[in-house]
Amino acid sequence: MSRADILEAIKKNKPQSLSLPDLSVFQHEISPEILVADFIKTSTGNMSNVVDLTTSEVDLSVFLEEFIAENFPKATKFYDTRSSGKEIPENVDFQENIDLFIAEPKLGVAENGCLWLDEGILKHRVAPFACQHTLMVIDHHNIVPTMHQAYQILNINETGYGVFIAGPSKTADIEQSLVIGAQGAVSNTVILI
Amino acid sequence: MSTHSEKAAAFIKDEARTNWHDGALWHVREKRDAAASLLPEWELLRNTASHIKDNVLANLDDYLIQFEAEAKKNGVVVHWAKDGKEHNQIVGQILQRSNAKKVVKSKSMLTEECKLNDFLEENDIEIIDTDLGERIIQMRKEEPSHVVLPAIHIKKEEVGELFHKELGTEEGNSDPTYLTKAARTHLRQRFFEADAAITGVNFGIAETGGVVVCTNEGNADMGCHSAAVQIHSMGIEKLLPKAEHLGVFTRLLARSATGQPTTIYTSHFQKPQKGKEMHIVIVDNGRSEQLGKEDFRNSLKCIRCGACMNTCPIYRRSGGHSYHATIPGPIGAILSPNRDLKKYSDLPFASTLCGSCSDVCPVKIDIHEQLYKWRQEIYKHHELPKSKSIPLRITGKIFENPSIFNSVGKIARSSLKHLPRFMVYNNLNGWGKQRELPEVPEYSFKEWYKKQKDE
Repeated sequence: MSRADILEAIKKNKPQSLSLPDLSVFQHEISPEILVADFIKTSTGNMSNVVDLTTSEVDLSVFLEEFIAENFPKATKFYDTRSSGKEIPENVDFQENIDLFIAEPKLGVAENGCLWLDEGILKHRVAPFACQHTLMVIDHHNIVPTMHQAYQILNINETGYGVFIAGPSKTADIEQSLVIGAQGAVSNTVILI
Repeated sequence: MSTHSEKAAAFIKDEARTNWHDGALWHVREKRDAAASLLPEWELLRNTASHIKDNVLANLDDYLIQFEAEAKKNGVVVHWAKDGKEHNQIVGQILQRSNAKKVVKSKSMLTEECKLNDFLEENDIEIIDTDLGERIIQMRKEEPSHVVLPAIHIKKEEVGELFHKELGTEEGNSDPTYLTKAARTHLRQRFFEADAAITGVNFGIAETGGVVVCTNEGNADMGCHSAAVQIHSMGIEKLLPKAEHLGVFTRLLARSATGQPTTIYTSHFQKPQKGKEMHIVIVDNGRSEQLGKEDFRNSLKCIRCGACMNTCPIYRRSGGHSYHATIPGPIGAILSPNRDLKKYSDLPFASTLCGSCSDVCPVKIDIHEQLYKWRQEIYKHHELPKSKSIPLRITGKIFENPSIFNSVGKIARSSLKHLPRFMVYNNLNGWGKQRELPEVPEYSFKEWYKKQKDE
């Protein structure tokens, strides 16, 4: 049986054990202003559209309504996972083009623009990939400096699936030319509140 | 089977294309440098990653057992395959049991290594590679030439022509955006039709029993979430002890690979979707044997970022296919001889031993040192080609005897200067191919040194 054979071979061949290194060396204390600035820079670099509302005093729901009407005028089908959004039905046909996916990620990462969504938020795992555009609303208090802090805070095993999304789908597979919207969402908007 | 140097010679015949290939990869290397330099703790990250992998390799059996137990708790079906053949059989059985006829795959070098596509096609199962670069080479009936940039050797005009034929795009249109959009439409249909999805695994987590898959296109997710059955093929060495270790490796992977701060999607698959199946196939295929070779076990730390390929002066100018192995470039040249020393005895020589590969490796594999060690192994096992073994034997004798060394030097200096061209530049002198030999000095170093001292 292969399982026993493989484990036996490893046992015979493995080197002497070494202890795991200390990860606390990667702790960074970074001021909230710099975190926000870094997050905007990396997200923009990943080709996300970023709207910074951290210092403005607009009513978010009013703002979003106007923003969506202005930026996605043709959007008719929405997949809104926010608590204020509409109830998501059990069966959604993702083959029909869904125009806009809206979510509130649990956490953002300043060093690379990653935003964490898990199955609890998503309802349907395929949603942020199958929808044409994604719109993420993230509270700037939930931005951490690096991936180390992100994994400290998250419990990746909390649901069956979780994903860091850092921008729209992209590829450079044809002669290294960057093309946005390769397979998943063709645009990603981040609203920073 | 032709060797690396023969295949490379064919590749470099087209000088403009060679220069283009060289430049494209060097550009990626430069992006990697820029990304790495933005992190002050870059070297600390590399060291830490290497140490974590040391710990993983030293406890691999325990971590695999833990991983399996946790995965099972999550409702995942775990399989073990000792080699590529068993891997393919297991995948075939899963597909047969669920009556799957249409399969989508996201990029996985392991399934390439196992030749899964050929196996499934022989068994009348349609398998579509969904990574754009892989789809292109699948349509061309080729193998990937790079682990991260599988179609780096192909020009956009060639893709335009291919898509015109296969997908009905406009003739003569080779605009990357236009072609990518066409592929998007083509692939979306395949995702929604698929009965099963197969992916590789970037990281498996012993603590949680889950797997992490990194893509820029989102194709792994489109496939896994759409199909009723998802299968992840994972090499035994892909494990990390805990979720917190992902922090180290996700920071290194994309920066080393393409200079991006992260891949756009970093997906963590833990449990099957409601009413669907999730399988993980754990594959050995020679890895446990490599673990037992002290000189070469470090190669199992590899996270397949491709940084060593982008920086290698030989790879950049000879192309991935010249390595006639699934994993090309410097890392492939130390992994392949483990699998078949005779077949791949040429690969450790496809290097200048400049050490650039080791310098960029995010997990600090001593790649160029292992290449040098493989050369000695190959010599010991009499696998050196005659073109190398005979000259080496002769030079060995010359170096052993100072008086012969001195006189041979003298003869060489005068004959290189005076002999007619055809006697110096011929098939016996590999160094004279495609280049002029340097001008011969008046004296040997020894003579020059003596003269300096006397003056």
